[in-house]
Amino acid sequence: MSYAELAVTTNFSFLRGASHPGEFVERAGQLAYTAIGIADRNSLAGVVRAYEQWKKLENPPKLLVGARLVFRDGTPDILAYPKNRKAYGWLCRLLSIGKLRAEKGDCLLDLKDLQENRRGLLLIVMPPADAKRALPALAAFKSDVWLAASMLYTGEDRRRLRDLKAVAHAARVPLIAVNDALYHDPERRDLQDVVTCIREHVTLQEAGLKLQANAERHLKPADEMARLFSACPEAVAETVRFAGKITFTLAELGQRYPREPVPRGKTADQHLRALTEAGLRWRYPAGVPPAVAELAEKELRFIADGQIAHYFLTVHDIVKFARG
Amino acid sequence: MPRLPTDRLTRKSQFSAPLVISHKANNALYVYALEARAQKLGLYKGQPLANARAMVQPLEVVTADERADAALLDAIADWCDRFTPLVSLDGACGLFLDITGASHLFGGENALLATVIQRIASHGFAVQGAIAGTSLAAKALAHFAPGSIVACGGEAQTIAPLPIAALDCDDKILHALRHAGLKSIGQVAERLHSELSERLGKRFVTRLKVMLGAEEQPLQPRRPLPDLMAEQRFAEPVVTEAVISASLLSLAESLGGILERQGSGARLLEAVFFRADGKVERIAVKTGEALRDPKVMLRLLRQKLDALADPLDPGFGFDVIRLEAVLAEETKPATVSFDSDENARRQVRFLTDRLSARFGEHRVQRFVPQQTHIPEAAGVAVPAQDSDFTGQEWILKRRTNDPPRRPLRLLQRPEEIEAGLPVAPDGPPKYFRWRQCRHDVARAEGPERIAMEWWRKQGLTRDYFRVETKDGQRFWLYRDGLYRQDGFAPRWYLQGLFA
Amino acid sequence: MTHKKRVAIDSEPVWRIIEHIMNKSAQLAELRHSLARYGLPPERKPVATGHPQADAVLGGGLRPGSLHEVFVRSGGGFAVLLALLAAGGKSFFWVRPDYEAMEYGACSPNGLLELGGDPQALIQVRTRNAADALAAAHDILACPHVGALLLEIEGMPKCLDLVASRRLSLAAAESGVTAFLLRHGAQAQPSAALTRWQVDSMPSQAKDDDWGNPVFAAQLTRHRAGGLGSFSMKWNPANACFETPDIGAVVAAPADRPAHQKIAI
Repeated sequence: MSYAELAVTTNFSFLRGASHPGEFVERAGQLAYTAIGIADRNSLAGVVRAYEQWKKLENPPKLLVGARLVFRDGTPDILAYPKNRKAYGWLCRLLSIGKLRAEKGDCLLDLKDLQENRRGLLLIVMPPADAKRALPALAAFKSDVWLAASMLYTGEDRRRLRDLKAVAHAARVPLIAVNDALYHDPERRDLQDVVTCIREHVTLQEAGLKLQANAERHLKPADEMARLFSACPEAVAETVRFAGKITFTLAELGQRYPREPVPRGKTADQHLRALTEAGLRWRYPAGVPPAVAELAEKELRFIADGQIAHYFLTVHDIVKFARG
Repeated sequence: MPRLPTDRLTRKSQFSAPLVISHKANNALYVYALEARAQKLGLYKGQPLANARAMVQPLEVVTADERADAALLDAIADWCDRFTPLVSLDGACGLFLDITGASHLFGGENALLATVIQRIASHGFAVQGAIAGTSLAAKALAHFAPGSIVACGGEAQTIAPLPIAALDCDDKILHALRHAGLKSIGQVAERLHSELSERLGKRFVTRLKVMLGAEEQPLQPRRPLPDLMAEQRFAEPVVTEAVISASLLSLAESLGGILERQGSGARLLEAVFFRADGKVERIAVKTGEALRDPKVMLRLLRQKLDALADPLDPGFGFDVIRLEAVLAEETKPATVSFDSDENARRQVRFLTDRLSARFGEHRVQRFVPQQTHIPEAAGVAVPAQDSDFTGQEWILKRRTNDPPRRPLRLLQRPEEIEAGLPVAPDGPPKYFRWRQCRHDVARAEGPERIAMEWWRKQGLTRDYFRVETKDGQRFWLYRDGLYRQDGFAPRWYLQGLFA
Repeated sequence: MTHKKRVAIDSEPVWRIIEHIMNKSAQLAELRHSLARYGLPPERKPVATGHPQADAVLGGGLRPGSLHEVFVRSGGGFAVLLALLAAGGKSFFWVRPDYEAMEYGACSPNGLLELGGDPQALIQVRTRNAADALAAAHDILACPHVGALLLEIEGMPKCLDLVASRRLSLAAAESGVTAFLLRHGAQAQPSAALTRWQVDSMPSQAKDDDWGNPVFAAQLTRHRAGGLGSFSMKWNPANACFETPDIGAVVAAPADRPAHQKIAI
């Protein structure tokens, strides 16, 4: 029995989340989650820190990278997770569209924007208070869309779950369990209340219903999630299936240098080595001094390790052009 | 009243030896106040007590009781209220009365001053007074030239010859003035203001100006001033119920007439009864609706009077009865609107006013919504007269076709119940005992988890359950605290009853 | 002091009338008082409860301007709901002595809202004892602009006798305010009330373990103007009225329960 939490708001969702992405990843590891997904509001800002922490862990859960799309046209929030590297590009593009449209810092998105840029994105619709209002969003996508369900001790959890099941059935979309986490540990509730007050420009005394009624929006152990969803265990299983569909990791985002023409049969490093040796011979016709040869060797090795041979080949090309 | 502390004692009892009041300052005993006899023998205020004892034997010494002195001053101030409502305290032994426009009622300023002085003196107090155009001028004259009455504008002339001690400023400044060779206020006044303010401070200059009648410092009245008042003075103090009622009615009619002409109404009415022996009784009535009908005013006052635990005691009779209207505010020009809803609301407000006057304003309540998750604080009962109760935002928790999520009645204090262990850790109990009765739970909804407001006070998170028993009774229970690993057993409480 | 304004109509009688009115403030006050009664419904139509059988037996519904007595073992909310219906958007006064407020719980405006009522219309009066509560009830019943009065009394105090109920009935009839007397832990006594009800709570019906809306077993045991009956009445908060519960509901026989069992409400 395992679980993947896909709705996580870190402190990179400014003045909403109350824990660092690293803390979420670490806690997910402690709870032995299958996967954890970071999805901040209209932003990918938190994923890098999450990735850095993830690299430090032994046997960490899978790290999924996504964004929580918040729309200006009344569409409910939708979590978007790119399946692969290309899809990540589409997601970045979508966010850029929203940000370019707006004043500094803001992001204005319509459902139409998502529809036009959704290739490779797995979408989770977060239902509003009236579950039926999620239907238009669900109907807008033919595939790869889920409806989220959370059990947050509102006092009508059971009724709501029944409603969500009905809506999911009507839209022919699977239900997926989330805990919509705002912090990794319940003791961060106080901090979350404080940042809410700052965001809403009120004091704690005045904040009233703007604050959460309880401290349930943290990462919970898999067996507790299973218990909460005992009326709908498939929603919990779906989280693991969902995570399984994603292959993209941040490691794939290397520095992609444009391909430099390299002779057949040779790698960039080999070609650079050949050019370096030719150049050394031209520079030291009497014979290469040992110190210089040693230095060249050291540098070539360094370049090979850093995989930056292409850069030097480009420089060589420019110099060649300039000379000729 | 320079000798208020000793007078308080001497007017009640006789002391064979000269009386001195002592108090502690800087860990030593000093003379705080002294009676005339003691002063004649050479003792003075501020003298170390040991010296005083050495100089005069025998000496009666009593420790200072500032609170009693203050209470006495308050009572005298109350009595002075009959001359003008603008009375304010000056230190521990003095009173300011603003008699602007009131002196003609008492036969002119001379007569007024004489009356006040004579009446206070007749109660056994040494008293000095003066009248002037500004408070500080009057004070200086009262201390150093008692009995003076100065017309407005004449202060500078009358004050000028007074010694600089009359300036009532602290010793450092006095010292500086003496050093500069200035002996009278007039001499100080001749100096340039800029020179004075540089050396002695702006505050000193302002006070000097007030003293000379050039500026005025408004008084801080001890009671909020009424916006309107009507009073009736009796040559013979009145005792009978009938006369008092008739007086109240005619006062209400005068006030009503003025309010009518002004187009305003009263929100707070106070009837003040001045007894001949100096005590003052006050009866206040608050209204939800701005009032100017004399009959209604009288009815509300009567209800308040009738509801008093101790009926109004006239003693030897009231010699002044006054009706004050405080917080009068603008009302709409038409008293009777043809909007029947508005009219109905007004009539209901009159009804709540009557009920409040009769039973007490804290017993007649309406409700105000509060934005909070804490259930017992989400709707607060406040006195119905307090404010406007329209346009409120009440938050409905149930979804349209669902049953109610909050109980109709909330117990003032949640009552602990014995609960049978729940089937699930997050579930309601299977049965519980409340007030010696066992209830078996047939249906339940919840938990609704509500955490306490940590910035107000500590408290455990509550899990609320709406339970229905086998016979259909419906209760609101909560478990106080979550189950923990350490074997902590949370308690269960019943907080509400559903319809 | 008269103000003779230049008016087109320059007739002596008109001037005399104007002078007369402007001079006599007492008469103005009289005028005001009579105008205050302006805006009252001309006839008093019965207020339907929403439950077809109950309404039929009641002759259309609850008669306004009359006194209705409700005896409860449990299900005290029934009287509150009747009063809510009768108030119909106008103010609703709930009068009870301190003891009853402590014992049976303070009225919660949020709870009233959840049932479909308007907390802004609710005014609560807490008195020291039953006698004061009766006095307050009379004050309230004297004001024709009040929607409904709910008087909640425990036990059988001396002051609540036949004479008292007659006075309450008369006061209600005079002003048109509908009055409800909610009795806890009491037995029926001779009374001048128009209707008398015995009420118990009943299990709600809903799917699974869920709650349904509140259901009451209401027996109309006395009716001066018509027949008697026994009804299962379910309250619908969304429509703010009663209805028949779904078919298959078990109508509990309240007679089965011991008369004086002190059930905790």
